[in-house]
Amino acid sequence: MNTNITEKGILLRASGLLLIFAVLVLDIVMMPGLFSCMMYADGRTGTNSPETSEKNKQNEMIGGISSENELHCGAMQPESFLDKLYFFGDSTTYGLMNYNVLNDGRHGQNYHTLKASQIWVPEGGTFYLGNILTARIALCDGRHLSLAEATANIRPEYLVITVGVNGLVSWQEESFKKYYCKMISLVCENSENTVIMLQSVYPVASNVTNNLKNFTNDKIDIINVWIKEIAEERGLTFINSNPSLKDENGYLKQEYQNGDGLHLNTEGFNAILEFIEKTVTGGEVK
Amino acid sequence: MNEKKSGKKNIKRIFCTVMIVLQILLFVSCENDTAKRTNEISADTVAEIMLEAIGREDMEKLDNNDIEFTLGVSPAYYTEAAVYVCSSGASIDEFGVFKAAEGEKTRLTNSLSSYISSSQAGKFEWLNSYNPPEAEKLEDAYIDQYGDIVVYSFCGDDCAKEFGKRLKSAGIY
Repeated sequence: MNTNITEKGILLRASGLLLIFAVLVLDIVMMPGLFSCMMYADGRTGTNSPETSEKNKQNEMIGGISSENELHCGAMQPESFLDKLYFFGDSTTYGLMNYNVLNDGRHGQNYHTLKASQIWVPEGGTFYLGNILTARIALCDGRHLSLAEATANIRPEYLVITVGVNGLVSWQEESFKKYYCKMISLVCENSENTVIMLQSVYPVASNVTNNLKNFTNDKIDIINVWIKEIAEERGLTFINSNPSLKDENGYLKQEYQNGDGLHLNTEGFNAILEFIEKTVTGGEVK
Repeated sequence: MNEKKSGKKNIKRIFCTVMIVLQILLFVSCENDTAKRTNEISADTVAEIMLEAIGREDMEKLDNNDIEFTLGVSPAYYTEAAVYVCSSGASIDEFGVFKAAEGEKTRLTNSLSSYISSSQAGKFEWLNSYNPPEAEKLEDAYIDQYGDIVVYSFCGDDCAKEFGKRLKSAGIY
């Protein structure tokens, strides 16, 4: 009887130790951040320089993403100008996620290597400017943040905004500019060092699908004038990529569209990224 | 015989009059009760009921300081407000619950009507071209009043019915 009790005690202790060991092993496996250098949403890795350490601390304090999530999002040390860009917009920006422009392994490789973390679009894959104060960006780490929160948390070095095609048909200049300026203010107030770049709305192709017939290049051109005016008033960079996407008849080049006449395909996005890189780094903007 | 008949008639008349008076009293008391309830109830409570009726998890509350900017409704017209908008871009679902300030119910309602009209004008053509079911919600937009509570909604007919049912079961409407 006594022997049985002792045996049971030993067995219980052994299984307890085994459980603790298993939990420890699991912890190590599940937390790669413990054994790799810290990485941040903006792509910077943890270094010993006081400046970056301070900035990294700041990132952590304002809700920096865990290293696990950052790795999942494809965070990496910025190597090129494009690595520093963040894109905020509607479905015309969301396309960057789906046309092999990312390098996170989910959508194949491409000459340009954007990461999912660089694309800021609400979960529905689209965005209406009138909802700027309530829209929530679906970040690739699972968080849903307002534009103000996202800029405050991530503090992108460059933010390319491509907005205006939704509601295009009916926007009036006054209300469009009111909401557009509010959007810019949200970024400025929350990340004063972010370089905001306002991109023109892309053109539509001649074979735009029937249900999108109201999306005309004439209307897009008007919106783009308003965006340019806002950029000039605010002293911001205006990326006028629209003309570079047009064919000789003023429509979106066939080789750049995904089939619906409104959204870009891989070639279209490559052209955009090349245009942004060339114009911004080449000082040809404005 | 005739006296008996006229006596019966009198009793019937008195009985009917009493019944009518009772019914009127009952109706008035119910009405007062509803008014009392809506006066006591907060905009947030009604908004919660609407959120349950919508059943979406991506509804985002608009900061009250931004209501005038977004809706063009003066804060002088209401004492409480709860405006929710779909935050994911997946739907145009939107509603607002306002508690009218004293004597400002008409101006509040007119202001919300203007907002609905401008939203319809601004979004309908675009939505109808690429997402017709959402455009229908714009067409079905409505404003309702429950005592001093004023509600507007772009959440569609089904949601409106569900909202009505839930309000009734909460004893508000």
